[in-house]
Amino acid sequence: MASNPVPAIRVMSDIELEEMLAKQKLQRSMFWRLLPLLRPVRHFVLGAVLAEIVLVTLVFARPLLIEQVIDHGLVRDLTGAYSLDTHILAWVLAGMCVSWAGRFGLAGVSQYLSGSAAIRLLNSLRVSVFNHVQHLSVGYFDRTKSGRIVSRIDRDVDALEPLLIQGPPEFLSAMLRSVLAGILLWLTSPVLFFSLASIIPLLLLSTWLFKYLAQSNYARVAENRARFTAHLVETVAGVRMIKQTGQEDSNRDRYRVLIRDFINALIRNTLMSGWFTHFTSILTTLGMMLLIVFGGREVALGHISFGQMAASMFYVFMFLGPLQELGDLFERYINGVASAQRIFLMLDTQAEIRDPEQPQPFEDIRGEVEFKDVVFSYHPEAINPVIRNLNLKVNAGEVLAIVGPTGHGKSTLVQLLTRFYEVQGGAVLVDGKDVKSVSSMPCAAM
Amino acid sequence: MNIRSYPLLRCLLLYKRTPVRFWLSAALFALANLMLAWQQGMIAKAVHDVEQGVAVVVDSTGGLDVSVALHWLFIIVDIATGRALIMYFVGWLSLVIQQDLLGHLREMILVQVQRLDLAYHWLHGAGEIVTRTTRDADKLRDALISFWRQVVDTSFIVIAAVGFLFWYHPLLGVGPLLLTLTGFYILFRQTDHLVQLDRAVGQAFDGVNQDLTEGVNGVRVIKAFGLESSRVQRFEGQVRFFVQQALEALAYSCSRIPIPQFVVGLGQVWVLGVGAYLVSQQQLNFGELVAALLMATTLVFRVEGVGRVMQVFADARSSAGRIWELLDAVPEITGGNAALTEQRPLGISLHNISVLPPGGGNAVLQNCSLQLKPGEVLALVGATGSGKSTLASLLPRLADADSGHITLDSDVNGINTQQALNELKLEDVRRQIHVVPQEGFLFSDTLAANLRLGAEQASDEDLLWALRMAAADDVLTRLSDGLQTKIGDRGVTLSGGQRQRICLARALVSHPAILVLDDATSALDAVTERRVLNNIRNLKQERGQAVSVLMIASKLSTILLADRVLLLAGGKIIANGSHAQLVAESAEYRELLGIEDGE
Repeated sequence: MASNPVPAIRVMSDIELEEMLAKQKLQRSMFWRLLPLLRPVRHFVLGAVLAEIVLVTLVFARPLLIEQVIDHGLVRDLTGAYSLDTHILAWVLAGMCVSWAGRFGLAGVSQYLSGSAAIRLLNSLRVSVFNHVQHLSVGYFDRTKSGRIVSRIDRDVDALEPLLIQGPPEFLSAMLRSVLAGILLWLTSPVLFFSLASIIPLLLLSTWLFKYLAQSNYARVAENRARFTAHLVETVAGVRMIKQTGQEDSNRDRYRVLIRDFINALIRNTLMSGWFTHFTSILTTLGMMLLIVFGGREVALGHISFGQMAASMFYVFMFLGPLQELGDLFERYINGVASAQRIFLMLDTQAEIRDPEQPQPFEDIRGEVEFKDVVFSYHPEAINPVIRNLNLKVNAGEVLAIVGPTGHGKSTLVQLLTRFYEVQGGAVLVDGKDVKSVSSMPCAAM
Repeated sequence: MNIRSYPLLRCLLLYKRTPVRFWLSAALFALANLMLAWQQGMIAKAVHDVEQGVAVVVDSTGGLDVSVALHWLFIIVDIATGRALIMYFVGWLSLVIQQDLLGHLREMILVQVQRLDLAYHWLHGAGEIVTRTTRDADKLRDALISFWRQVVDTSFIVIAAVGFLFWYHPLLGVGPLLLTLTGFYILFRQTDHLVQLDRAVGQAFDGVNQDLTEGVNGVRVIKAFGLESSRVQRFEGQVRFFVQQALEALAYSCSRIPIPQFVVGLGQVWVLGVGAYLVSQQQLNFGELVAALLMATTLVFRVEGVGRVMQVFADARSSAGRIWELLDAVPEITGGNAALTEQRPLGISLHNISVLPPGGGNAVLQNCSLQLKPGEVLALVGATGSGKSTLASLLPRLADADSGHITLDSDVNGINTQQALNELKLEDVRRQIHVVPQEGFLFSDTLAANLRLGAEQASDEDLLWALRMAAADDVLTRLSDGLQTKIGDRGVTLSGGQRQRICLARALVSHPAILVLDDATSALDAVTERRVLNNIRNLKQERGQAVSVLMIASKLSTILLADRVLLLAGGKIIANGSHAQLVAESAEYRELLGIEDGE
């Protein structure tokens, strides 16, 4: 192949491919193709979901326990001083210990379950993608850069983890925390709920703005990064030529420019998206203060106890926190879907050269080779095929030398014989049998 | 203290480049966390006012006075806003200096890659060096990000939170302080084991990757031998091993990391218990109790992330070690100071050169002497592995001999001058002596940029001339954008013969005095080869740029184009003369070229 002139055909760059995939509407069938993958590990995922539910319950126990101490553990006597009910306090402290132990212990359990599900699932997928790739025809490898194939099996498979494994329990846990906190606030007092909920529109608006700004810049950062990395890889590969031609300084200057471009893009990206976390922390504080103002009103009016108000202050993080996480979850979901699309695209690629349904027996090869009116071109649309109506017969046991100038199809003939490529016209016969009609395995014998 | 044994610290010391901004960042992180404590203190006061019935007052007519509560709202939201602005600014500032450091380090690596001898590259392989510069540098970047976000910020938050509690009452603070320190201690103890497990996982994954890359890149060989199924099986085995390692590491981290987290979490329980007691003793009010609990919660959740940071740092530590190993390597080849006298034609002589292989064993070249006379076209032949390419690398000093010396000779008007190669400036030597390897490297750039590598000032006419000299003008006509066509890894695919001719043209653009063709015409047919060599021979008359040529050859057609042939065997030149002479006199020569005796 190396000695064949290949006309310049445009191969899609990774960025172009990504853009093309991003524009495609999410196919509904994608979901149904992904779901069966989960089957073998469904018990793990269910277990993780269950662990998250118990975990959230334990998390909610804490503010309630604090409320107990404030309202009942400390009893105000006639002089205005407080006396400590040690019995209640001891129970509450024990409960708090259990809550923390459960919080972190169950997080570990949930992590283990979803993590081991991910490891099992992704790696069996990795093997099946590799298996598929290994059986694709040589032509596919000519058209597709090897780096891209490797990254399908490597990075894209890994990117499925948040979509398939981490996603469901995390999403559920986030929703559960937010909804539970909302319900508990509502039960305490609808006023408290509304005072905190008034923050949500602002939070959603800023999340949307953040996504918009971050995404528009992210591609540029990634591209700049790819550029300087490629430059470095190339420097290592071509170091001999750089030394030979004394290009060390100018090469370094070029690298410096690439790095500076990358840093500038990165910093611009951070400036445009870095405000988000800080802005949400202001919003959280605002939410807490609104809660104090309206909670103060409710306490003053005697609608709720002070302990209830104090407990509801701990709901602020539980209520607003998950809403901030949703954006992050959504982003990882999008990334996972893009990776899934690329993987399916590859799995849908069929080998062009397949064994016939019923291969002819092909044993004890004598070694008689015949090219009959063979026409072949690497690119079927090309005007001048590499091989034009070639007829050639090599008898068994004969040693034949084929000579010719560079790039005139000598090695192409060999690759047609081993059926790396398919002829477009005529036939290649071994012992009188068309190589298309026999199983590909014994071709190795040639 | 030897700084070399603390590679990560050595990287952090590079912050010396930006001392003002570094300390400013640290100070601002401290200020932001101080403001967090301040904010909590204000919340405590607001909550206390609520409890005392001051924040919202119900007057006798049933009307509400919320002025005190609103007053607190404005103060606290203002503090939060100020804090957010500082954090935004310091986030930008720390990113700028962190990227400055990384960019500097990346440039140092590139410079070092270019500076180190080819021997280092051969010994360590391109893959390893690329890993240094990509994966290891990324691990270091992760550690630097964690340095600001976790180490600096978390230590300040621990200080601020514990200080806040101490300020309310020493009893309140002492528990969380001791518990947090205990948690950290347990975490440190676990880290070593975690890192070991992680490393095993990394190695297992390298195995997976190795098989994966081989499966994709070696697909032709795999198909030719029908190895698909056995390769898949092998891959499955590698993946299974990786899964086993990964599960083990996961089980360890999931079962052990919660322990220190729980210990730190107990700090909040302590605050509740002691706080309630202090309230009953009238040493603390309810507002302060609530604020203390909120602060303790913040502390617990901030420390939760530290477990992962430990791993990031341990990883970065070994990566930094490998990076410094590369940066500390010293190139052995250094140039002299003497300028090269530009007299043509130029010859070169090897005097008793010996080269030993890096790992020990039989010498590649042993007391080898040879002479390329000025203006001569010399062919060097020898069996595979006889040291021909090693010899070629010695000439532009891409490698150095272990003993013996090399001189550049000129012979103008009967005056004989000799200059020792290692006394000359390296750049002069490499400009005058150009080796074209069999597999020339083309950069991912335009054809013109590739041709101009050795002569930046060359005009388009010069490039076209060189392409014509190298019989590569027909390659040019095939390219859609002419000289501006992108070639190399990410450009147009070129055949072996096309690449060789472009590499020849590139060598000719820089007008070397000595051209070494290391099997650089192997993919050309005899007609083209002769055309190229005749063009080079005729350079003297045409441009006044005489070139001496040393051809390392394996094809008879190439050898026939030379004035004289040398046969290299056993590390020495064992035969010397014209082709006809050698055929007549040397049995080894006849054997090497497959010319049977008596023919």
